Amino acid sequence: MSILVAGAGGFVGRRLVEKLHAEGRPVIAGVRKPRESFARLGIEQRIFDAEKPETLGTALRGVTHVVNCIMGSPAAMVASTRNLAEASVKAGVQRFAHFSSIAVFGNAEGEIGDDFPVGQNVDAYGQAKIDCEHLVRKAQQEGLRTVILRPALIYGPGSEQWTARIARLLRWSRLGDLGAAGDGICNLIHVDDVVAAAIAALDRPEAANRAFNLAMAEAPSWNRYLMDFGQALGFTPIFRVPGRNLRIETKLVAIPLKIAEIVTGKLGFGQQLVPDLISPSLGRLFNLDARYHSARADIVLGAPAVGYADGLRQSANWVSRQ
Amino acid sequence: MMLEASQLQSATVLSTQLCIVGAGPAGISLALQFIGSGIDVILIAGGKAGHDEAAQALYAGEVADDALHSPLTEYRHRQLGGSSATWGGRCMPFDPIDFERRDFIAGSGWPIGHDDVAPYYPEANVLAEAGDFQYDAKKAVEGGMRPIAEGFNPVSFDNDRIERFSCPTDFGSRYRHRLAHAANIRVLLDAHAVEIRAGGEKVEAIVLRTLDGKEITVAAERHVIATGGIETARLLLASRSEAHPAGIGNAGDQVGRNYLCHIAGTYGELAFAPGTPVFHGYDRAWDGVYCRRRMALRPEIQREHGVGNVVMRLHHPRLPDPAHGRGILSAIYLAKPFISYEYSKRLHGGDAMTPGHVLRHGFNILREPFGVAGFLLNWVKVRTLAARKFPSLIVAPRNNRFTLDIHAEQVPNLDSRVTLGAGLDIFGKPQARVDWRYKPKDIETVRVALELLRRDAAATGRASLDFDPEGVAEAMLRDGAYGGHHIGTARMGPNPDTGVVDRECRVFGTDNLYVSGSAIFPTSSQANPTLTIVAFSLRLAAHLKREFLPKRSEIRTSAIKGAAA
Ligand SMILES: Cc1cc2nc3c(=O)[nH]c(=O)nc-3n(C[C@H](O)[C@H](O)[C@H](O)COP(=O)(O)OP(=O)(O)OC[C@H]3O[C@@H](n4cnc5c(N)ncnc54)[C@H](O)[C@@H]3O)c2cc1C
Repeated sequence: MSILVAGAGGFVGRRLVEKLHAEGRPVIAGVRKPRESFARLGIEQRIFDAEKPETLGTALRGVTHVVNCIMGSPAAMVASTRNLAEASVKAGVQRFAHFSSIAVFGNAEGEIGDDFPVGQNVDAYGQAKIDCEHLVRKAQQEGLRTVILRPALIYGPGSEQWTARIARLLRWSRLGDLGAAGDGICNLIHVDDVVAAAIAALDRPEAANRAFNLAMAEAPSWNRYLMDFGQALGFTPIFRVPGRNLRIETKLVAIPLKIAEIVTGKLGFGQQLVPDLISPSLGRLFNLDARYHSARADIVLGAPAVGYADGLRQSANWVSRQ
Repeated sequence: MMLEASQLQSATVLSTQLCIVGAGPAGISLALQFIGSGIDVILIAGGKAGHDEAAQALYAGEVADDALHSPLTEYRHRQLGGSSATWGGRCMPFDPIDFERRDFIAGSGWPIGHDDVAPYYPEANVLAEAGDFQYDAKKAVEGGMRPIAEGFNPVSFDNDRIERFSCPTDFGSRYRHRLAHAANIRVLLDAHAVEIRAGGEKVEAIVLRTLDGKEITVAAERHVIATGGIETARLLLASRSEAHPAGIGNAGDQVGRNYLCHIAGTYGELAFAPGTPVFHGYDRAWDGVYCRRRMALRPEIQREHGVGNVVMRLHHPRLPDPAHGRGILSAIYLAKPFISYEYSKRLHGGDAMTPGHVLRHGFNILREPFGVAGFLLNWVKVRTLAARKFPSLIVAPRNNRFTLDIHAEQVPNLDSRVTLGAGLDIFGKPQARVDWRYKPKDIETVRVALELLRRDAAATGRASLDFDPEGVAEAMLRDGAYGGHHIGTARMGPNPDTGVVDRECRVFGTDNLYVSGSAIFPTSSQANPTLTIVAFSLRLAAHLKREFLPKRSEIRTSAIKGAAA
């Protein structure tokens, strides 16, 4: 067995590589640029850019299992998935685990199980994830044994989006108790649970050729998460964000911030220079009444093991160390 | 889903499983529990989403004594959210003693105990946005709340029982989006219940009228009246028919009786030694909720002295008397025209402003202009612009001389009543008439508490209380019945002779009619009512959900039918 984690430089990819390595599994980190931390651990690294099929030539040599953790722009994700899946078919890979996302369900509300139809009012990111799933299924028809994982919002140590960014917004009282604007369900899944599910997806025969939602049971409301996390971080008393603040954030402030983000990005400055923006779609997410159920994963891959309180504590510790 | 009654045809009949009349904290909390339950609900708001003069005018009625009770269009709001559109947000649960039969209080004793409602308080606290259900000063804030004053522990009182404050949350604007969003809930705006129609024990429908003259009927399997303490009595009484000649639930002549508010006022002078640090303001819990200490007369002391439940808070001096010497108090006194009747009534008292008064108040302001300006700026920040608002005016008096803000139980009183008056509303329905009465016991409760505090305070050596026992009644009745708390008109009882609803809040003499709200409280407690109203709505929701479950026998029949098909 030899496992290639493509996109090993990313948040989930890195945790997955480290975990596999710690378990003594033969793991190869697929990266665009070599990483010092992997080298230190003596982990083999293969350098490629999955967007460019010609660089994939030797990447899959000897590889039996592939995990696709590649993130990027919609076009980049689609191209990488296509190339990686085709190369895996050619290379006779035994198992191909692919990271999709609950974004494929768009803004659908209600109880969303593993077989819920995808594609309702999806954004560009969600559409790319759907297109990627199609490519994976195509490869499946060509004989590749695939697993599609659709994690909810991945939080925990290392999570920039749902832990670090939220912590910054809480610190500046830009988020807090949102009242009527925060009644949506905050469908979290701890990064360690995601990593465990990915490993099970490689190991368990019954996982083959199926798609799995990955989400915690009894997810809290957004208000609950924001307040609990704020408390864990010690940003108390929690600020009650007036409805008008959030409206100004998503309607007015988000636009210049987005522009500033693009400009500083183009000029090559770190994005840290620009404050986080609360986009209109993030604002909508705070009120999305959708609960994702991971019944299939709970049975086939194992139910999430990290409790909410533990997850918050770990997240807060990680943020304070930063 | 939100429905405007104006979009419906006249004579429309809507059928549903559960009809909730009234969309204040009671009705909204109840309706929220059914989101996604599969049970079809209609919630009748009795007004618009926001204040509307014409709807508000439907609350007009008669008051027997203007000096004792405010007009019926005040301290009530006929709209989505009900009176929570304006409430102060003060929350605390009832005490176990409130539910007990106390030999020294006629009419006391609930058919249920504190334990029956206790499980619902934490969730009620969340809905009211008053944070954790934690009412112990030692635990509500990390490290414990600040003491009133070091060493000041009047022994007859529990000084660790606190009150917590809601934002204050307007249940209408806060939860409207959730109701609008729910597929199984229809919120009917701008429709007013005028009659509960029941040929016998079964309530068939609620008859609604709209301001533009339509009649709409809602026929449900179960109906809940949640129209507030006064309007609930009015609706039950006005629903007279052959089957219910005295109105619904009124076979024992109990509907509208025992109309209770609270006995409240500011009185006495509690003087701490000059220079003693005294804290009578708010601490904030981790979740941002404002918490404040009170002195609560201990239950064993209530029993020993045979008096009702009562709490006291340290308070700034009465505003109208410029002798308090504080610029900010004078500024607020002079701002009277800009403060709503409901809040200015108690703040400013009934006294007329004379030019001499105005001058002396002006002088107070000039004595500390920067203090006043700073206070007002901060007020804009923590109150006007804040979504979680600083709950009340906290001003330290000069010389450490506080008054006491007293809030006491009013004991049950069969002669204190809501009845139907002679006037008619625009639908031709009789208006309510309120004849609020109090008993000597109500005043005695306050007098005894003050006397105990005088003794206990002296024993601490930290403060002394000065008050005139002869003046207690006048001080407590100066502003009449405490506004906005309308309790007891459809009280819970063991049987129809002493109550209107049973222990599950079902109206006696009916199969499928329930009441939610402070109307069902047989006794008034020291506590403001809303948190307990919400807790009872949650309890009723749990009961109704059980009732709606198909009976075992029905499941079996349908299974057999299914098998045959
Ligand atoms: C100024 C003020 C301050 C207060 N401060 C506090 C406080 O600090 N703490 C506290 O606990 N309580 C406080 N209260 C009391 C609190 O507002 C009430 O206890 C609470 O609103 C009662 O809720 P409810 O749902 O039972 O009734 P309501 O809020 O009165 O709601 C009644 C609902 O029924 C509807 N309705 C009425 N008649 C009809 C009809 N015929 N047909 C259809 N619909 C109808 C109304 O439109 C409304 O939606 C305060 C009240 C006032 C006025």
